[in-house]
Amino acid sequence: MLDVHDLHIDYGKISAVRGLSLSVDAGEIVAVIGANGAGKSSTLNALSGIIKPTKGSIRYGGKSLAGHSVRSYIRMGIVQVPEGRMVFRTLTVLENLQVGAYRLGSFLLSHISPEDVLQRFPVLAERLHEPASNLSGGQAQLLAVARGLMARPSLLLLDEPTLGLSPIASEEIFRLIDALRNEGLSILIVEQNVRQTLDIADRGYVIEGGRIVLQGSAQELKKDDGLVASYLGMKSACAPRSTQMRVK
Amino acid sequence: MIDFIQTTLDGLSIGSAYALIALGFTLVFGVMRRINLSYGPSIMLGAFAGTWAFVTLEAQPWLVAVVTIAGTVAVGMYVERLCFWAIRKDAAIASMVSSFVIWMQLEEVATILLPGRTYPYPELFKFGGIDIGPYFLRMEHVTTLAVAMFMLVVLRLLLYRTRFGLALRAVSESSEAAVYMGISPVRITFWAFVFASFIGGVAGYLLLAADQQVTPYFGLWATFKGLIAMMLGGLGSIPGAIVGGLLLGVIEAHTQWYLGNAVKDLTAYLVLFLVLVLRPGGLLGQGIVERHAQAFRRI
Repeated sequence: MLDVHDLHIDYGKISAVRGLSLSVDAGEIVAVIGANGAGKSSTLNALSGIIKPTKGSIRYGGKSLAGHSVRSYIRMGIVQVPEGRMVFRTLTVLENLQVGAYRLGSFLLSHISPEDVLQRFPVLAERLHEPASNLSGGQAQLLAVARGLMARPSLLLLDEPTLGLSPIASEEIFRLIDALRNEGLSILIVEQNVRQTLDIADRGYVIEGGRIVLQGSAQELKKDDGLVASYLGMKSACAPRSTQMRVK
Repeated sequence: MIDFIQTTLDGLSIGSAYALIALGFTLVFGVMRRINLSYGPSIMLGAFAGTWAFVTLEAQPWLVAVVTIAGTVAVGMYVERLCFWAIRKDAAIASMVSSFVIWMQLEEVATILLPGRTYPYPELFKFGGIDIGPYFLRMEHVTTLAVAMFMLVVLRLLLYRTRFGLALRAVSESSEAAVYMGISPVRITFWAFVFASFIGGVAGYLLLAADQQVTPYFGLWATFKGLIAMMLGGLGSIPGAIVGGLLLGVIEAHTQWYLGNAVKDLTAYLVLFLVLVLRPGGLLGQGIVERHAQAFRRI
């Protein structure tokens, strides 16, 4: 479904991604794993049209998308849930959901109904008219995903969805992602909780220095010695960052 | 007592025009976190186009209104493209300075268009006003108040009931996050500018039609009044702009009545000074100041 070939992303003289290729098929969870600065977020941002790649092709459903605007990506069904949730704190929960449907929406807000999406999120349904700043970190992440779903994606890009969340809240997010895949949504996920991600993922890519150094099924990756050493063992190294980045 | 109420009514009417100008500032500030200093001069140039149509083409008053508003919108677009769109996102000071430079340019254009100092501006109504008991309401004042209230309702509906309004509020909070929704902050900003200019054009027309004359100083005057009203009510707060505008109008009317014309502006500045010392965010903008402080603490 999604085919990325030889992707290059440069920021001025610094190149963040150098010749990366990956693919996502319908209804699978694909994990992208790598250290900070490996180029994971840059890759996701290029795959949602936020940044324009210097070189390379991005094809989705047979159509070439590289160089197009975020609008076209969303219209094609690729929606990104950004790192750090980026929930609109001054807007209500309902408005956050409605803004997610911006690209589909009609002129009047009253015509944008979040009902379908809300069935999955009873917590949000209860707090529909509260400002999003009242939500806990876990709830805000749920809202961010729900907001993404409002655009009716066929491929959801998740950038560090459990960053700064408690283990229980993270657990809930992973369950949600798993459930979404089981309903046919494709998911490309960048995560620092490598073990839990590989538990639900179908396949994975390991990025280092803007290139893919390892790829395979989630099962294979979990058994890989190098990966275990560098990522599965680095939980403690991630901890300070996640507390630092905690929002609210 | 009758004097007091009469003065308050007069103040509310001019205050509602201030409120409109403050709203224009607030809209643009809300979306861009930048102040468009040449907002007043844009209105002035629009009004000069209107009075030019009146003087040279003998246009009907309604046409003068249309030309004034359309002119203000056109100048607003020009200012947006030059001072805000063309200048990078992180260079807020540069766009403020350039909006000041554009101000000079706009005044220059106005004096080329009409080299004199003062020009007549057609009044709205030929008949004076209505008596209600001991009070006299000038027709212009009633219209200004009514139109201002109407614009407020329209603005509120636009901001809170439409997709565009939601996008605008989303961009005001975080243009970074809005991009992920497929919203183009550049486009939203442009339309916010157009809308602010439209509001400014209407406010300018109402004020000038009540005054029946226009000078190139109107730009300076409008920028001052709008900024003071906005600061008074609260930076970036829409209800604040309205409260600030009305309050400024009432304060001015009373000081003029009781203390004389000379003290009028002085009092307005004094009140602004006191409000900013006691409540740095303005009367209703405290929340915004606190939110920013919070955000900075997090960072």
